[in-house]
Amino acid sequence: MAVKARGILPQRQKGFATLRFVVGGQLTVAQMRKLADLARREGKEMVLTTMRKTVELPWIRLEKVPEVLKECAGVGLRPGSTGMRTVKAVLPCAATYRCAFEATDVMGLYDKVATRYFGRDAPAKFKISISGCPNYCMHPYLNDIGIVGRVHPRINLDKCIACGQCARLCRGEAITQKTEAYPASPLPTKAWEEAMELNRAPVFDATTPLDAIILDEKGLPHIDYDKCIDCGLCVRNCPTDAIEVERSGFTVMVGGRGGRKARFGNEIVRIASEEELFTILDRTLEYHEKFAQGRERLPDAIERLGLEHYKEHVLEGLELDGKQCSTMKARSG
Amino acid sequence: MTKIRWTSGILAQKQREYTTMRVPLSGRITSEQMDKMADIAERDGKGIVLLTIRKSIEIPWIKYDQSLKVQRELQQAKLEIGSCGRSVRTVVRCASTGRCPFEVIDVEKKYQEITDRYYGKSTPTKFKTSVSGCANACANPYINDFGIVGKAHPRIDFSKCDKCYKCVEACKGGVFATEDGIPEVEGAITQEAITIGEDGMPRIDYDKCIDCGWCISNCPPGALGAERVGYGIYVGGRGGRYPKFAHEVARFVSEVELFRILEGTIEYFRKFAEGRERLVLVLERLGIEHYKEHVLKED
Repeated sequence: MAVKARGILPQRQKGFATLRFVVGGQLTVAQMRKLADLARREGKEMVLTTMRKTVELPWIRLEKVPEVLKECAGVGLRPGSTGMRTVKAVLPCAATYRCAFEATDVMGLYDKVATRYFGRDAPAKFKISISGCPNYCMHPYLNDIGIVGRVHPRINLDKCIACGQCARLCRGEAITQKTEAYPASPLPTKAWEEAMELNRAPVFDATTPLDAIILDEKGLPHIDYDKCIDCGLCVRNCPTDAIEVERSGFTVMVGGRGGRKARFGNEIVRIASEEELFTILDRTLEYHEKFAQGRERLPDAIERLGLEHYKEHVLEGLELDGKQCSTMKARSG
Repeated sequence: MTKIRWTSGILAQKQREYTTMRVPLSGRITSEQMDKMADIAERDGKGIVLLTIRKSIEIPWIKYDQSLKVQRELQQAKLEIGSCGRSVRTVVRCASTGRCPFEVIDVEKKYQEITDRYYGKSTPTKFKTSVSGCANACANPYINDFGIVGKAHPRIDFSKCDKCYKCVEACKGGVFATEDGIPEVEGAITQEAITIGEDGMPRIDYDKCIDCGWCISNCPPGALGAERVGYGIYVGGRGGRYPKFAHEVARFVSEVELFRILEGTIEYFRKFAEGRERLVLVLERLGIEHYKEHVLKED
């Protein structure tokens, strides 16, 4: 493996290198202190963070590199994600158990995916991202493989108290209205009052309204599944648990890329189980290995051979549950 | 009490009593700031910080009643929380910072200028900008409301050319050893805009050339130079739920033009957005020609 693949990046300036560490979007206090300390001693008092949520330590003298890497290893900082022909740092969203939109255990999945695939050889760089919900914060469509957590809701009208909370959430209202009216809003009531007092923005942004939940004349909710994007916000915020999980899993998007020749990937599965997800990942990497010409990236290979060719090889024999979409859902309304 | 703007930077968590503090840094943090954040995360949070895709750092798990105290402490270390709400969000810069072999413009300077002038200014809804130092477009200009890409237009001085053809290799994405064989830099993508002419001299096919400047960096005798350096501008992209690639509204403009267009775009956005509509939707509704007429046309 080339030196580059081990987390050492060349700089324009001779004799210096930048070290890249794969941290999965999280730094511990010990890691931060170590990085700050090393930047002070060996670098230029500067630490960089990147678009793929790795951290970089620039301006390290080449002869100091082994020493610095050794110190970093002591606090669990793994160098890597620099080769042109490997699976790059897996990109998890920032949900980490605290985001109100998170529909799946992002960090749990991150650990599994990163352990299994990160650093593997591939014909060209191969990027994987994980978003916790269909807000697509981690741009699944700009990665070779984009994984998105999804929850398909079902309403149990026996439990429903017709509070209308779900419909309001689905309209994107929950965070723009006063919380008192919403018993299970993600916004803390006391915090809201303080925020109003301080003329401070109440917390997180409203997402684009979907309006997929319609209330009938009795105030009972009904889901318009054509509009629903399976984000699961209604499921998690129903005060009586009347909205249940019909099924949950992962959307897989394939063949996107950012940068110079940016291209959107295609959604190939709407909701796959975890087992199916890993089958698709395994087979996609095999597919890339088998069909890429030279240093061709997966999106280029798919463009050359056609999406159908890819699907034939990768989805064969998988009995995928639920509806499949050929492309991303177009914006409605 | 001082009024805090919409850009406040205090985010709600699923857990009602906790909040996450967002510190926009655009990917660069000093040792001192890092230590400060570590202290806060250890004392008031859960001993971790999160990195975001727009290169900010977030400190999660801060108790709500501690948030103002934490904010003041961060301010002492010259860390302002923010980049939320209906405003010009943190300007994402690529990771060049003067050390990337590909960088053709001064990303740092552009970032500072744009941030000083526009960051936090109110807009109908969020407005995202990014600055990439070269045509590799690492900061994803295509999915920002306003994406800036540095460009260097190459020209060959044939009197200096010694026919080593490194430029031809560079444009094919060849591998270059910068020093003693390590570490090596690989070209990004095969562009193949430079070929060898009948006279044995390299020829640039300007239709294929994307002004990335990689050949200029890889010409040992310095025969390839930048005829001019400028910016490509992409407007009206978005990521998230309904992604859309931006329109390329200018292929190659000067610095003065860049700021004129940025100013004009923000004005245009304020004037024509209905409600909380993103720029991408304004352009969808009114058409890119409408935008060009209002923003690009010289008075």
